[in-house]
Amino acid sequence: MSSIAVNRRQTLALLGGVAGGFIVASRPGAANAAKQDTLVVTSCADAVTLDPQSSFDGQSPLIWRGVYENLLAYKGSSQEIVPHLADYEISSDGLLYTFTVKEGIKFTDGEPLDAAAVKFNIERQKAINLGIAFALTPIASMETPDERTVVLKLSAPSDGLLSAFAGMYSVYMISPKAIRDNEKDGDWAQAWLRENMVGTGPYKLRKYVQSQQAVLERNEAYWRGWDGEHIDNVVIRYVKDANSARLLLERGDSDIALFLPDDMVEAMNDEGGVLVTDIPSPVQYCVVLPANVAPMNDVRVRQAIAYSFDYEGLINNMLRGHAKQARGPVPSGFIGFNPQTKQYKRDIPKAKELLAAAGFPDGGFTLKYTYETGYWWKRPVGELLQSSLKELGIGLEIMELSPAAWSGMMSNPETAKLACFGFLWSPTLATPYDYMWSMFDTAAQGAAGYNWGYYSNPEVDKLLAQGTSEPDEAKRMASYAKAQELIAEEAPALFLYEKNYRLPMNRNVEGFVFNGVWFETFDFYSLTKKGA
Amino acid sequence: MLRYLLKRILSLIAVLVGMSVLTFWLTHLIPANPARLMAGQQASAEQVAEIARKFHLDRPLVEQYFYYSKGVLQGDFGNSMTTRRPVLADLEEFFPATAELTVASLVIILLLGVPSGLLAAARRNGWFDRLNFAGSLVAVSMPAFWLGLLLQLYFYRYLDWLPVGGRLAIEDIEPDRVTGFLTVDSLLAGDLETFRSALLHLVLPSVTLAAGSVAIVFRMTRASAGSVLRSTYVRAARSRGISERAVMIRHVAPNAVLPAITVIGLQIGVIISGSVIVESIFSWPGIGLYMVNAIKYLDYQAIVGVTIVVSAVFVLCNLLVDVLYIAVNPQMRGRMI
Repeated sequence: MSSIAVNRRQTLALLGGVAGGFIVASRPGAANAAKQDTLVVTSCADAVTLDPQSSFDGQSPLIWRGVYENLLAYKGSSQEIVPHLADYEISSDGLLYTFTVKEGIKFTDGEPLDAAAVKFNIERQKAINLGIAFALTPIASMETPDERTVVLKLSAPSDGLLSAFAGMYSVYMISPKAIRDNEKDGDWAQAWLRENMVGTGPYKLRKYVQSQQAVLERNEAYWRGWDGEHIDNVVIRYVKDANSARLLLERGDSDIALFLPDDMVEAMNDEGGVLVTDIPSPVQYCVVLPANVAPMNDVRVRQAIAYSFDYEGLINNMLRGHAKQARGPVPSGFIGFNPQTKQYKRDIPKAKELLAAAGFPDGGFTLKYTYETGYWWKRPVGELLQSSLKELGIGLEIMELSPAAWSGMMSNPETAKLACFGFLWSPTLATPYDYMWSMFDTAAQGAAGYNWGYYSNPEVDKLLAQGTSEPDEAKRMASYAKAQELIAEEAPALFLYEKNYRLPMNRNVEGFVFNGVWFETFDFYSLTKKGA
Repeated sequence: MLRYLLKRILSLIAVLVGMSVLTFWLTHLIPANPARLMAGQQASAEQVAEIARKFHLDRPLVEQYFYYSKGVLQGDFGNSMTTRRPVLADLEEFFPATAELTVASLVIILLLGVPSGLLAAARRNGWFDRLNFAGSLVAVSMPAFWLGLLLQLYFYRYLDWLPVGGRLAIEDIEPDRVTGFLTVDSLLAGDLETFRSALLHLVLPSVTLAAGSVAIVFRMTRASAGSVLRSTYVRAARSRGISERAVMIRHVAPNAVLPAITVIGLQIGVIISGSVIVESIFSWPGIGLYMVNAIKYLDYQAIVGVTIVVSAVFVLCNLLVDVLYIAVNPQMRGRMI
């Protein structure tokens, strides 16, 4: 028996030794938590591709923005477009766009950025027909009269074209040599550029491991130079579990945490070294109502619903005041917003009156509310809508679906019948057209856009078409203003709120400027980290 | 033996074909529009149609399956719609991470489950036995997502001994890929610092993944060792004056471990399916996490690809365990040849 006791002691000693070994070994990374020259960003969702011209997802631009640049840029937090890699000029009829590329700009492979490179990139963007390609359709022809000049000829004026060279989804400049050298089976090097980057930007890609990490380092030859304070390295870590991402940030192992659920962000406010931004943002939250089938095709029924919703309760209780009620389809801080647009306030007697006038004094019908898994904000909005509608005698069935099943159901008018859905819109192009066309234009129904309430008003369609092709700014904005009023009046959606941008980051990160056109991305070059 | 193996391999192929048909059919039952989803918020109808055409989504189901199986036979598992590259490339990228985690968990199961079962049986109802029994009850009943969270909070947040997730620390750069096992690749590259980091990153996820199985293997070994201890040949050995230690090592252990082998084989399936949850908690970039994402976006070919590979691994592991069982159990040998 005693021999077994020894055996047991030995085993325990061995186990203790192993555990002790881990204790003595300090956790790797702990010592580097406060490294000042490295910015660490965690993202709860993967980048899709490093090719900045071939995707429309929300996660990839974070990396793109460090390595690739656009011809134009948005000034600070505004929607004003200013020159970046190139100066620009637009003819008075809005049909000629002239870009003059700045001198001395080189890609990280040593290739110069010239007019031919710009033209080649636009050709590639059009050819692969992904990403921002849809906004380039007005371009009829391109010319390069000299080494620095590119002239675009348009078939019709387009107020969104300039944005296609400035924003988060745009014609980023990729080295033409890299594209030509790595082209395979006519793919314009899409496969190669998925994991490699050759741009003109302040950083270059050091290492990329899908779903794991992206490491960017300083591009020493960057054309704007490295005077002043800048971050040397950027590490993007894909941390799928929100709790882990929060722990990393709170312990100072990361500097910024992207894509955390909102309740978690709200819970983090005022915690130690973590700061949560509170900046007005042009992201518009709404509930789109089905508008094509009786009884919802009656304007009065939709208006009744708009009058029944508890906007204040939503903003004050659920969002703790970090939002304000929306006024129509365009957010209040955005270009072309019309302050005269109607805003609905909760008014149950008025709602009942409208419903009675439409022939449904006691409600008596049921709607659906659909949302996709993973979108934290949609369920409580649905529940609030459910309780508001109950007061009108209207039922609401809440359905949760996978994102793929959800888009399948809603993009088909047969299966989308009488189904409301929560939706948010962040702008791609700096024009009110961007907000209104996709959700409310007749041509955007079904698979063509996001008009999944199947709303149709020829007057609205006409105003939007007039707006986008009108070169005169005052006239253009007048068309959009009228469209906003019409849409708000006919209530094809409940315009809920404009939510402040709430991003948790370390207090020692400085220089962050939020621009709503750039969402969940950073101009790493302008950020600095102060000593702890 | 050879005929037995041949028979098993044939049935393996049948299982895989069946699995692929079933998964293919099931995933396509859902009326969804993955092309629309992939194209992104502002994409035009033509862009959506283009994507649908590219992935044969506009063809009838039988035809889609035909394209698919034709590709698989040529080593082409199709393209993932979410990662936009061949599924095979994704599997090559993510499978080693899961394999490394699985191996680490198996090591923990073998090192903890079997010896503790033997020791507990030797001193039935002693403090070691009671402690382990209570521990195994907790380990079996505690769901992985809860255990993982507790371990993260304790060992990362409070003690700061172990990393919270991922395969490497933030500032580590992945060693050049040879096997895809970071512990092996870092050693091959002679990078001890990265090796240590990779090893430390393995601890929490593999413990979380192994916990339930350790408990099951512990109980299994304890029970079978208990019955071996009561057998006449053990009594005979003892009465001949052989030391208790020698009895345990020479007579009890080899016989008690046999049933445990079968259980461990089955636990491989449990571990692989458990990796879906554990990989999500620990941001472990393996096929579990890949699968979760594929299901979310109804990435058909990725789902079917993962299912085929996981089924193949599971069936192969079971075959291996059965062969091992025959090899270590002299009684079985004659019957199979």
